Amino acid sequence: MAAGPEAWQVASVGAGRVLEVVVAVVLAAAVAATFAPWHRSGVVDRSSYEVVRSAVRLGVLGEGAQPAVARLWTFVPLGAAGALLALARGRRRAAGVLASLVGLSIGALAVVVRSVPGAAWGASVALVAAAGLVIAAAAVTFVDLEVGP
Amino acid sequence: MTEVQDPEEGARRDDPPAGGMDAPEAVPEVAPEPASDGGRRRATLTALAGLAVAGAVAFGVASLGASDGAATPEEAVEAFFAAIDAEDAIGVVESLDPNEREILRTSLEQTQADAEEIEVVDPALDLRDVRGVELQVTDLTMRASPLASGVEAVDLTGGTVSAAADLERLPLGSVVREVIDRSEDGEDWERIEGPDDGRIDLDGVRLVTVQRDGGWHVSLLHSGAEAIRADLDTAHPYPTPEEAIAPSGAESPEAAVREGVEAAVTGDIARLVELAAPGEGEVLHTYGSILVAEAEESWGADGLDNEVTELDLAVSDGPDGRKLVSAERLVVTFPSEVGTQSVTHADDCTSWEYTYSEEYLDEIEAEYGAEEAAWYREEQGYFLDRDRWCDAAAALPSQEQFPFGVLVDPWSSTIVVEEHGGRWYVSPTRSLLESTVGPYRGLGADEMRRTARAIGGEWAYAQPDAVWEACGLEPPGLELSRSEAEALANRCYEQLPDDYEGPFGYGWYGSPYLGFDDDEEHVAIDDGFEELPEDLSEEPVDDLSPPAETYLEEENPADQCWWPAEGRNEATPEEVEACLSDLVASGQLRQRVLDEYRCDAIYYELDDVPAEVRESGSAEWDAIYDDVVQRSEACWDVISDESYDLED
Repeated sequence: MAAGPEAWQVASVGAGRVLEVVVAVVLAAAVAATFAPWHRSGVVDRSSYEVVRSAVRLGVLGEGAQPAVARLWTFVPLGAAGALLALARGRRRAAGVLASLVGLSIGALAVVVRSVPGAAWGASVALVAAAGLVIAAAAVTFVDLEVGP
Repeated sequence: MTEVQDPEEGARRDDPPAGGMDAPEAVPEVAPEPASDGGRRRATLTALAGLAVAGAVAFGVASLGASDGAATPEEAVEAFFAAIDAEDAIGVVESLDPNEREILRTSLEQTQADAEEIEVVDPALDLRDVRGVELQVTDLTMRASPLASGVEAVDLTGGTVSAAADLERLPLGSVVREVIDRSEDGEDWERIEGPDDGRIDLDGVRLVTVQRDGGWHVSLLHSGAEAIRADLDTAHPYPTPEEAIAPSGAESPEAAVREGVEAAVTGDIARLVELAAPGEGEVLHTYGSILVAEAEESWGADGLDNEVTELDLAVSDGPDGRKLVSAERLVVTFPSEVGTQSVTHADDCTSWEYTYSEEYLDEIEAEYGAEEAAWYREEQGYFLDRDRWCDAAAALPSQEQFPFGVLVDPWSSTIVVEEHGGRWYVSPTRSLLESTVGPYRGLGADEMRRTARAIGGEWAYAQPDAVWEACGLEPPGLELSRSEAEALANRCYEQLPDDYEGPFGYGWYGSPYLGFDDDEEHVAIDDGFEELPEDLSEEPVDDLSPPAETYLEEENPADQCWWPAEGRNEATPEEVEACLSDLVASGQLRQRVLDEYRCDAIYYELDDVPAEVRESGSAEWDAIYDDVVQRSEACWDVISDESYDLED
């Protein structure tokens, strides 16, 4: 018999682990990209956190809910770390949802910053990583694979 | 049938694969490694992820709690100059007082949008990275001293800012580029650079820093106010918090401006300061007591006798809930020694009227006779409708052609008011911006092009339509070259009726190329460099320019002293004095001319002061300057004395 239940299960476990590793790596890459230069003013590069901080301080986001929401950007690494913790604990759905949220947030801000004059390479890298993260997170959330103990 | 696995279950093994196998049989053999190894690995991964969570929490909390601003006043100033050095516009604005950031940001963005629309700047202009400008800050040293709680002055004791601009790379719009191309010395514009170009010595500069929510920021408005305080003749200590004037708004946008106009006209500085918007007007509120003291010193505690006799205001909506208020009709009366003056702003024109008082007319009659007094009586309101500033539809070139129309004609200003806590206040900086940049808004690119050419020195484009109408020629089109436009203007001046009094009614002096000949007829003066193309003239254009000698004063023997024959542009002060002395000695010149020159020449001593002292604005420079002024004035006092001429 070419591929029995045991072989399927072995393959499933392997693929599941690979997918988890992919999610973890892309998650780390996306978060790392948020610390890369997203915007350049004069000869000064600013990371995504510095961009958001400057936008809040300069009043670009106006007053009210927008600046408050923007301040939460600083917890993107926490969301990513939470997703990693969920993965480590075997909570794949929770990890997938968290990673998706992180990916969507990074992607959304990257799109906004890329539309502004002075956008730097970090925003583009983050956008690509965020797209990969959303796909990987969707896969780890919805695809039925074994991951072993 | 396969049961849909809950990913939350992760390693659950009791699900059969597709095809419906008995899961319990397969499960024990599938595990590729001992459960204990997997458990240890997962525990390790969990621990690592836990560490990541802890790190992320620390990062988030630290970032969220980071203070806006620097830890000390010196660090705030260092951050400010570091941002300038890095040409980091965002960093510069970020280092400023939060109260000033929004004003600056919105003003810059609005100005940029307006300037792009009228093609003064390139649409590619990015305020965060202005191409073609290089700034460098070096050797910055400073010393901080407290002014009040949360306010510290930082005196720069050393440092320079060097600036270089590459005109080719600057994001200038087509309108400005055209002005440069058409300028007579356009070649000098190609590169504005050099080690000394735009070099600012920072020694002696005082910046004021303010503390907001724990962080220190540079305050440009405070720094400006502090510079003014230091420059006043009367020494005023830094105002205490108790001396500050509290903001107090008006009931409505209209009331705010009405009360502001009343206060400005009658010299009620305290009320003016009260009406300044909180936050933005904080500097005015802080330094207001000094302004009040200075005003009282100038015109007394009772203010001025001026009166607003009519004021009709129009209110319209502005951005962000603000209101724009402008005067539809305003009449202000100013008493004077000889009668009253009144200014009327209506229908976009501002006119002045002068009325002599009966007492003054009686004095005239007593001193000069009834005939002279009658003339004065007939000329009541002589200047009415003749001394006017108007918009493009009226006599003058449009006010937009003057970059700072608000300074020429403040009565036409638009005042921006905003609401704070149900009361309305005046926004000083936005009002200033609205009244200076606002008039340019809505201009078409062609009209802006004409305006830019006029500002660039092409007077042909500055002449009002009324002048062209009077001379019977069409205004110059945009297709004309600079010399063609000037030639056309010269033709126009020549063709003006002899009795033409100009758009203002009191004589027409609108052109540097216009003069009067011996018969007091209008003539164009040949300025010696423009060529008048024939195709613009039905008659030989050279005939338009009368002989230059018609306009030269009688030759003055002293002229030769300023213009030596060796082909140099001008003589040195020593050469001039020696030359004048020789002329006096030979009897060709009066002693007075030489003495007057000597009184003026004392100022040349300032040229010998080292540049670093001259540009520092230091006490040493002030002392040198004051000494020169005093000696020159003393010299003039001597030759102005009646006894001098007797001696002479």
